[in-house]
Amino acid sequence: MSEGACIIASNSGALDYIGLAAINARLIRKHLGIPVCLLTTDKNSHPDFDEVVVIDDRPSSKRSMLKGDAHITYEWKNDHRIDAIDKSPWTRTLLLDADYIVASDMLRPLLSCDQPFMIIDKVYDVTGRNSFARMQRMPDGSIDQRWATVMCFDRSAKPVFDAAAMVRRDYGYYSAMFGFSLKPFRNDYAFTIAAHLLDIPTVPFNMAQLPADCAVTADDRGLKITYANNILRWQGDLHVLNKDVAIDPSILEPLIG
Amino acid sequence: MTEIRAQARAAYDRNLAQKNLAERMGARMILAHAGGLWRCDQEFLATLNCYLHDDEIVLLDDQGIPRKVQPLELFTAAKMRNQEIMNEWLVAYAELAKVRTAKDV
Repeated sequence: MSEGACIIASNSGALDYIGLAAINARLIRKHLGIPVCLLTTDKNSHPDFDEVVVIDDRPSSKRSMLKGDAHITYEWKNDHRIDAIDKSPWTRTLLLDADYIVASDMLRPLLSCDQPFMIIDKVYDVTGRNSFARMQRMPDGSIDQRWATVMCFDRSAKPVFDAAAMVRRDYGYYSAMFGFSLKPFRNDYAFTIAAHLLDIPTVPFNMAQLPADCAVTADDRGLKITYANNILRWQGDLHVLNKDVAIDPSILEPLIG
Repeated sequence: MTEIRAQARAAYDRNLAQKNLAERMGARMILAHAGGLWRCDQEFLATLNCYLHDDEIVLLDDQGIPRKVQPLELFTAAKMRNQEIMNEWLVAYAELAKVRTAKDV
């Protein structure tokens, strides 16, 4: 049995997701000791990864994010995740967002567990402002929302991906049913519905998440986060929503050590 | 001047830093064993300690799945993981305790 991580990344405008994934690949090897595969629509060579799988382009949608006091708009290419089970070269895969920074071994046990599929259940705001409270449940409040940022699966998890593909196919129907916007497509919603349909166990810890209005720098002591006149030091795994790390991934290089 | 003003206003929340540390270390307390995931906290070690003379028992793992385990083997691995993380926690806690103001962060 082979095990490894997969990161789906394609550049979009000023956002260098492949550069961010390359830094993350080095962090994954350092902390988890597993090989990393890049799933990308970019046909160029990518020597920073152990494997590269070129995937077909899919329709994207525009997304707006806070950057400092302004907003940036970019093409959000995000619905490849559903195809990851067929594209991953590993029999046991840890699928991560490019902006999920691996800085510890906490995800390692997921690879040794016998559950065919696991997904993040809860997130917390490391700034203590509880920014994601409204995202704990689906917009209509019916079921808990899962987070597709981190998923671990093996080849037998196909029914989960089939269910998520069904949601993608009939997204209009599910958006009306659960009260979410038709655009942009959200993997979190597709996998939330799939996980509830199939009663999937969740990862037994909460994911640390950083709101988009926080600025991030890094040095040999970890990440330094500034927000609303506050300063915070962070030394663990973190899902960073601020797009500065995707515009200039070299910010994170000191973490590699 | 702007920089001096920003430095003067900068705040550091010590309680939040300790709370985040507890969350982070708690997440790392997970151990994979016998196909399941186990949270190696003090309560779990105490539970396992009750069964050390049994060859095989059934316990609920952290995802609520019953699993057959050899208690001594799991206890040894769980204790090791617990102490590995607790030692890191101790060091990180002491580091955080030294930070008094935003400029020390």
